[in-house]
Amino acid sequence: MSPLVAFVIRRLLQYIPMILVVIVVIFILVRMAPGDPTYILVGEVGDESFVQAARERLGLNKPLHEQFLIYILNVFRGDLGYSYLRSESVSKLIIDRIPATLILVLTAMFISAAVGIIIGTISAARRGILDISLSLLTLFGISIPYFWLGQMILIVFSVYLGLFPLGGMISVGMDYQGINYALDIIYHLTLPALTLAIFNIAFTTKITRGSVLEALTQDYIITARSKGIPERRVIFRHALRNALIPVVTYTGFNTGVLLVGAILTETVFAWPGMGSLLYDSIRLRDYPVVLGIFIYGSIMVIIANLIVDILYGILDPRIRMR
Amino acid sequence: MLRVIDVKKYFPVGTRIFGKSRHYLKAVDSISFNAFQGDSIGIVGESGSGKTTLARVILRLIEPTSGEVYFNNINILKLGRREIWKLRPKMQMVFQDPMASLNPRKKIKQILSQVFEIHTNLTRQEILERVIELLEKVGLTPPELFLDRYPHELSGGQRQRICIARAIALNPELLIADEPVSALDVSVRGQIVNLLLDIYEQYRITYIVISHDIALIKNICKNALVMYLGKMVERGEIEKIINEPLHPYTQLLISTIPIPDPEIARKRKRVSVIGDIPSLLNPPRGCYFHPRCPYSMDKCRLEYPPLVEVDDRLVSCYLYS
Amino acid sequence: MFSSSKILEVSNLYVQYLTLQGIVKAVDGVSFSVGWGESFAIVGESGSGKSTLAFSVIRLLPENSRIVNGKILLYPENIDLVKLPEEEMRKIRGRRIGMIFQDPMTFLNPVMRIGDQIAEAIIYHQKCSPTEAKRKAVKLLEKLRIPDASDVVNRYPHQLSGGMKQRVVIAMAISCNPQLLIADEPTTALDVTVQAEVLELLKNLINEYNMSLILVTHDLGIVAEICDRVAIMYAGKIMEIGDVYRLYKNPKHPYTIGLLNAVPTIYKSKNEIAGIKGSPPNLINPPIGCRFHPRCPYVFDKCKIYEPPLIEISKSNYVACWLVG
Repeated sequence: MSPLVAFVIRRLLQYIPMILVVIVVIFILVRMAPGDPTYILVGEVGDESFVQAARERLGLNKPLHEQFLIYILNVFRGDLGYSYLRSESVSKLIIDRIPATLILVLTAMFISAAVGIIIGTISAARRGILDISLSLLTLFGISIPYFWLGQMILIVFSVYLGLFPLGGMISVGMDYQGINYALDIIYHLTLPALTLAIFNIAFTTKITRGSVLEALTQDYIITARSKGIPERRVIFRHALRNALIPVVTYTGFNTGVLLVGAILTETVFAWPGMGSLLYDSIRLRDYPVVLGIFIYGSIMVIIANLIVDILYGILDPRIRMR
Repeated sequence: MLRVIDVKKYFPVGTRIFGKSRHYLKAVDSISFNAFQGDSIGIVGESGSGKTTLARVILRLIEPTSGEVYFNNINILKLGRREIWKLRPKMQMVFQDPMASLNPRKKIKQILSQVFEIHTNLTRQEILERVIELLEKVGLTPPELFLDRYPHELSGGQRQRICIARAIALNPELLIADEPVSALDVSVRGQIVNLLLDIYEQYRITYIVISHDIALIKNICKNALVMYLGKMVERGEIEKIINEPLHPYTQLLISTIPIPDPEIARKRKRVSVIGDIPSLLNPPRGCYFHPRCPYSMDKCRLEYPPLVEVDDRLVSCYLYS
Repeated sequence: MFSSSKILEVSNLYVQYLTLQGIVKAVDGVSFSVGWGESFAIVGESGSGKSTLAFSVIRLLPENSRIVNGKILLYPENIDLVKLPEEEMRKIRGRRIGMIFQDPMTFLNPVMRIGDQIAEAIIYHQKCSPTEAKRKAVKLLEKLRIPDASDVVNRYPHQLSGGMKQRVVIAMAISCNPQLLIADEPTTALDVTVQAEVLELLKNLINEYNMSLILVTHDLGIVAEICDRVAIMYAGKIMEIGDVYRLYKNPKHPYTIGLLNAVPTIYKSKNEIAGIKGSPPNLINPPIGCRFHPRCPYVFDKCKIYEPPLIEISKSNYVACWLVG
C-alpha cells in the first residue's frame, strides 16, 4: 500500500467519529427548532386523525431517542430516508443538486485563490499607497454580507444593465447542446460565483499578504537576494512558495464557510444547488433532507481538508505522509 | 555520592495505527559513571551525543527507559513525586540560554526569592538578606542595583549569573551546568567560567559540566566522559584524556580546539575526518564512529566495541582490545 | 603584502539602525581595505557591528537600517557600492561578490531543490540554460566533495546534514566565480568536528580560485588558521587592525589582549581563562571617549573624554588606544 493511500485511509477513519458528532448535533438542533412538519403536510386545519396518521407514517410519534437510533442505523446502511414533501429519496434529491453547487463553489474558490494570491503578493511586495488601498478594499470585501451583496449585484448587472440573467443555471427552453450549453452555464454562473468569491478574495488577499510579508523576513530571502537574481523571482519563487501553506490551509478550512455562503447566494440567484434545497427544506421542516444535506456537506468539508493535507506534502517537502 | 548505572533513554520513533513503535532513537545508551563528593565531571559531546538528555535523566527531569541513578545512596529513579520534590534543592541545573530560563515578567528579586519561599520557612526580611548575599556571591555588585531589574534589562553574562545564583541558593550538593557559556560573548565567557570555579572551590559542590568544548571542560573539570551518538566512547581524568586521547573521536575533538596563534595553528596536523555526524535515527552498524574514523578496521564495521580499561581509563575502541 | 592592488576599500563608513529605543550606531566610522587574493577577518562580539559591516558591503542590510556616510569602493572600476542603484547592485551580487551565511538551516530555502537553488545565480549571471546550469551545479557540489552530487541536487535542504548544507551554501556563493567572498560566521552553526572540514574546504577554494575573503567571526582560532589580516571591532569601531601574525604575537589594544586570553585552550593551566569585566555597551548611547574605556583595566582620564585615533604601530598594523603613542 502506498504511503499516500495509507494516509488517506487513516485520515478517513479518524473522521468517522467526527461525522457521528455532526449528526447528533444537527439532529438535536433541527428538532429543537419550532414547527411541526406534519402540519405543513396535512395543512393547519386538517382533521386531528389525519395528523396522527401522518405522524405515524413518518415515524414522528416515537420518542426522540428512538427516532434517532433508527436514523443513525439507517445512515450507516447508506439510507438517508425519504423526503416528507417530495416523495423522493433524500440521497437522490441531494445528489441531483450536488453538481450545481460544486460548480458554483469550485469556481468561486478558484477565482478567489487566483485573484487573492496575486493581489496579496503584490500588496506585500510593494508597500505604500497601493498596499494601503488594497488593504482598505480587502476590509470592505470582508465586511459585506453575501445576501446584500448578491442582491446589489443582481440589481445593477441584471436589472439595470441587463448584462446577465436574473437567475437559474440554464436558459429554460433553449435546449443548448455541447459548447453552447457550457457557455450558457458560464453566462448564468458569472454573477453568483463573483458574489460568493468577493468575500473570499478579500480574505485570501489578507492572508497571502501577511504570509508573504512573514516569508520576506526569513533568512533564505537574504540568500536569494545575495545571488543577484531579480526581485520578482525572489518574491514569487522564494517568498510566495513558502507563504502558500497558510493560504492553502485557509482555503481548505474555508470550504465550510463557502458552502454556507453558497446557500445564501443560491437562494438569491435561484441557483438550483444544495443551498436552495436546504433553504426550502428548513422552511418546510423537511427533517430528513436537512439532515442529509448536512451529512453531505460535512463529507465535502472533510474531503476538502484531505486535499489540503495532501497539498501540504506537495508544497512542503518537509511534511511527510506519516 | 552520585552513581549512574547503565542508564538508557530510548525515544520511540514513528507512529503506527496499532501496536508499539518498532524503531527507537537511542538518545542515551548504557551510560555509567560515579562522582564523589566534590568531584567535577565534564560531559563532552556534539549535537546528538545525548549529553543533555543524560543530564535531564540524572536530575529526573525526564524518565529514563532503564538504569539506576543513586544520589547519596538513594535510587532517585524509584522516588515518588513528593520525595523528588524534597530532593530538588540538593540537585540544581544551570541551562545554556539564561534568557529562556528566567521568567521575563518577574524582577530579579522575585526570581531569587521564589526559591526560598518554596523550600524554606524564612521571613520576608531574611529572604531579602539571602538574596542580597547571593547577588554579591555571583559578583553582581552593588546588589541593590539589580534587585528591581527585569531579566531583559541585564546583559547575557549578568543573566547567567542570576541563573547560577538561583541554582546555588539552597546550597546544592550537585550542580549540573549545561553549556553554561555557549550563549555568551567570548569576552564574557571567562567571567562565568571563573565564577563557576570559585563556587566550586568555595563550596565543594559536585559539578557536572556539559559542553561541546573539550578545552572548556579541561579548564573546569577533573574528570570527563566523551559521548558520541548516545554512547560513551572514553572516560577518565581530563588531563590524561587531553594529553593522550585514546579514542579516535576524542583525538578528533582535541584537534578542533582553537589555537589563537597563527604559527602553531597553521602547522598543526589535523586528524582528517570525512563526513558529518550520522543521524541517530539511523546509526551506522558496528562502531558508530567507524565511517569517519581514520583507523577503521573490518571488525569496527560489525560490532560495537566494548568498553575496556586502559591506563586508568575506559575506552570503547578495538584499537585497545 | 597585498596592499599594492586592492579589491575593496571601505572608507569612513557609518551605518545606523532605527529602532523604537533610538538610533543604533552599529558601524561608526570604519575604514579598511582588502587586497586581491587576501583573506581579511573582521573579529568582534555580538553587537560589535561586524555583521552589519559585512552586509553593508553586499548591500543586504535590513530595512530599518541605512548607510549614513562613507564609501565602499569596488576595484578595479572604482565603483562606489553605496551610491550604486539597486538594479546595478544586483549585477554585482553573486557575480562579483558572493556571500556565505551563518546558519545553513535557515539560509536555504526549505521548499526548493538544492540544484535549483544553486542553478539560479548561474542562469541569471551567465545566461545559460537551466539544464546547463544544473550540470554546473552538480560539478560544483563534486568540487565541494559532496558524495552522490548528481543525486543531492534533486534533494531538499532538510534531507542533508548541517555540514552538507553549509557546503551547498558555499557552492551557491562561488557558483559565478566571484572575486570577493564574504563569509558571516560560516562555521558557527556547525558541530566542532564538522567545522574543521568546512573551514579546510573554504581555505582551499580561496587559494585555488585566488578569491579575496572577508571573514566575519568571533572565533580567533579560525582567524589564526586562515586569514592574512584582521580587524578587531568593538562597539562599532575598529580597535586594532593589521597583519595576523604580528597582531597575535604582539597585541596592543587591551581589548585584543582580553579577547585572546578569553579563548579557552588546553595549553594553559586551570584558572587562567581571563574574562573582560563588564559587558559590551549599548550602541544607542555609546560611552564617550574610547568606547572600551568602561571595561578597560588600564583606563585613565584621557580615555574617558577623547576618542583615540588609529595609530600606525608597525608596518600596516594600527591600534586605537591612548596607551600607544
